[in-house]
Amino acid sequence: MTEYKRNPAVRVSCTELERANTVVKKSNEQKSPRYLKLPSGVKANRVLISGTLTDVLDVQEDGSFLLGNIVDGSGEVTVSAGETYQQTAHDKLSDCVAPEYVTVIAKVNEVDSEPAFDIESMKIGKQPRDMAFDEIVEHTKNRCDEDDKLSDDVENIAK
Amino acid sequence: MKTLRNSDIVSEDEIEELEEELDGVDMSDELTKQVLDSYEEFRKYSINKEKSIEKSLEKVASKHDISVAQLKNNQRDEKIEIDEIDEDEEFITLEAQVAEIWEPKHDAITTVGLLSDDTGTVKFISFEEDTPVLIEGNSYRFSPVVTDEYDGDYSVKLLSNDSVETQVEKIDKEFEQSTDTEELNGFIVKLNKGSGLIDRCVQCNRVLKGGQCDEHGNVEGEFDMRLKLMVDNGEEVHEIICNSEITEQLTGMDIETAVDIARETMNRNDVKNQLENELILEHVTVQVTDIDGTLVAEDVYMNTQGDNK
Repeated sequence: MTEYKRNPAVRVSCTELERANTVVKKSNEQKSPRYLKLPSGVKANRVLISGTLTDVLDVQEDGSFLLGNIVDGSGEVTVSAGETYQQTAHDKLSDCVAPEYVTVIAKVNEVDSEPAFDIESMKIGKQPRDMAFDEIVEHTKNRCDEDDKLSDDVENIAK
Repeated sequence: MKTLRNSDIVSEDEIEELEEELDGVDMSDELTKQVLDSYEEFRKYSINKEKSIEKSLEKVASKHDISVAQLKNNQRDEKIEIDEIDEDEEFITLEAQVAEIWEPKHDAITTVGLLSDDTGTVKFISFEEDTPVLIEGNSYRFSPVVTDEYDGDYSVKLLSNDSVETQVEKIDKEFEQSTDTEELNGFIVKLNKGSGLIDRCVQCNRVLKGGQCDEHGNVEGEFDMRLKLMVDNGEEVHEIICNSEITEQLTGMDIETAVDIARETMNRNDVKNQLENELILEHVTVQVTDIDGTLVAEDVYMNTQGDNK
């Protein structure tokens, strides 16, 4: 059995992430896990994002730190992968040629007081993205109140 | 067999009740008298009936340096099924398959695991050094084992002491495990340590660690494939164990192929890495059985086709 409880990846749309600005830490320690307060009510330490990778940016110009922009029809989100701490994801991202369908599990981080998303794992392809979209819509609607605008907006996720 | 006692405190009715409780118990007159005396004493000091029976049996057994089970001498000589286990400290005979062998968590434990027959599963344990080796997947007749109740759950203990020794006989019987399966869906997010190509002890089937069996030390190992998948459905993450058959069903990789891969690079981890590469963020539906807290895959299918682009 697992010795610790791994945080599940909250299924979330880009538009919801765009509206989430508050990152909270579990404790005051530097390495304490970060949680993003989502408008739909939950706090996420890990998120599942899916859509189309539109560009890959080489921030340091030496390939050591890459950013990827993901668009899902409802909004846009940037995910990142550094060579040192996210090597597998970094290598995968650097092999990508946009545009590509991607599904990503990312860990919430905070950079310059802004939410940031470090890629933990990613998969290229239409099928994982289709499965992810179904779950993102369903889970988001379950989390929201019925009259929440987000409940409608999430349906903008491209199909 | 039992003498009725008249007493101010303990009424005849109560003695009869006690006799019913001890129904089937085969104690000598002397021992019975001791139990009844003890029972009366406890009752005088406001101990309730159930507790008084429990305490007086313990007291008399301890006085004679035997276990309560031996005191009760309650033997069921015919084999019973696992779902018929309903009494603490009882000698029973079982015919069951060793469904799982577990890693003992204490030095004192020699063997521990799960037995199953057509009616259910029960944990078994042995503290005896000379317990016969039990092999996962084999069926045995155990005669007798003693039942142990803790917190409402029963387990059975193999014995090997001056008074009782559990006879273990391998039998050729197949059992149908009528265990309920549950369906889990989600993305595979990780392959836990212990996934990929593993070695099992040829003598007892335990997973070898560094070529060593916890029980048999430096032994020959047999290759096997196993996955410890972490499946995440957005709300919970579960670890699911897949045997070699399920692993092949899911990944197309059989033991031989895995061995070839490991031999090519002399690195067994390459098998796990390759599988991880294929499986991460594939969406699966798994039928699992909960075996004492561990989720075991009975069937699995991919909702996403591997290698899609």
